[in-house]
Amino acid sequence: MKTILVDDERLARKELRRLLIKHPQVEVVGEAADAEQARTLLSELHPDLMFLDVQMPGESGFDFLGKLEAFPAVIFTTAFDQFR
Amino acid sequence: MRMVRPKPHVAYWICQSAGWLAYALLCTISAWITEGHVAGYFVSALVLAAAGFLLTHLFRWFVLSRGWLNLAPGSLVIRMVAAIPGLSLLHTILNYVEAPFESYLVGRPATFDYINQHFVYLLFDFLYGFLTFGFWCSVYLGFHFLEERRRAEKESWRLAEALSRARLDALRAQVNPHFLFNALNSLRALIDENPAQARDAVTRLASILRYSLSTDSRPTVPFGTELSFVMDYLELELLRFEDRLSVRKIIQPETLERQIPPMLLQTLVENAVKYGVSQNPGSVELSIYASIDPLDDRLCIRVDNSGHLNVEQSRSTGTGLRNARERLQGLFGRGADLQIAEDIPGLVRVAVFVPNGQSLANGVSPAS
Repeated sequence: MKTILVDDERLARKELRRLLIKHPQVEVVGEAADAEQARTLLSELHPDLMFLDVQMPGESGFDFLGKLEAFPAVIFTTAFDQFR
Repeated sequence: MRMVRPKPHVAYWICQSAGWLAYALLCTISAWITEGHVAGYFVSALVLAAAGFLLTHLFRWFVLSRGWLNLAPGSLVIRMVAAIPGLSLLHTILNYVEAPFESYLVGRPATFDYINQHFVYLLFDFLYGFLTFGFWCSVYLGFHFLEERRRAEKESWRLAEALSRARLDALRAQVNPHFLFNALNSLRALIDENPAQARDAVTRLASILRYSLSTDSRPTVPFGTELSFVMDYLELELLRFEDRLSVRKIIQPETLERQIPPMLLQTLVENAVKYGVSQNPGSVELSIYASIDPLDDRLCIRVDNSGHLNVEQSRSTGTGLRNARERLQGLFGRGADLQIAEDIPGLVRVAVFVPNGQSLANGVSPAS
């Protein structure tokens, strides 16, 4: 399953990637640090799954999703308990 | 929560007894003037007063058990006024039953026939009852509303005090749990990547917590102590934001010994990080300046961050910074101040001015 990680924090992406090693069916094919990079990845790689940080500077995860016409399965990742 | 219903207290018994005794005396005096039989009328008036005492006491019990006192003042007054004719009627009936006794006492024919012929007296009694019970109800309500108001006043003092205490507690904020959570998450990823840096970060986290624990009971701390705490905090935020955050500081050495409330600089810096870095994509520069104003000898702390002062920031920081300003002025008087502005477009600037010398809080000694 082709997967991309979208999170503004490098260490958070790194940790997520490490955690996903345990799931061989998930193949991380790209990382994006903001909504702009994520859009590029989506159009180039056509992933099946996207891990998306809700709290990102500029354009939040929700804003970003709202503007997309088609998107893969999404798993929200967030450190903020207000979104839980 | 206090009981809304006042307990039967001393004031009620005094007023009730004195009131009905006065009633008996008034009846006696008026009978004395018109008829002349003092002793007989006094005994009769005492009996009627006792009846009134009992009647109003039962009425009070009724009012309390029905919870009328918890009603809105308007509906309470309406109910009390509506009860007056009923009370008068009951008292008149008692009066009628007692009439033969009174006739016997003052030497009139003590038969109901005789009394019925003087029916108009009963009518007068009924109308007098309006005055008597109207007066009773007014005094009762007056007392009730007075007490209610005093209670409400006390309650509002208590609330205001609790509020200001809560606000102080919030200002004396411990380390923000969100920050701790984020720092630990970054740290977990760092353990593999750079163990030495991770160890360093744990040390900083420990000293942050130690500072937060030790400042809890102190009204002020030296600016230098707070600054080194804030630098630890920023180092941890740098782990998370990496090249998206750069920190610059220009500090006059004379400022380091000046006293400030603990967590003051922290509040400013945390705000700058929260709004500057978290809300703007791209890199953010955060600057801390500290100097002594040569004119008025105040310590001037400035925290700048690149970014814009948006509505959300001015509203929510509004509260945090207003609290900080109130606390500052509580400790140092009107000479202390705190301002937030975006004078230069793209640069949000918070400035704090702290007067030199002892804070107003008693027993403040420069913390070492």
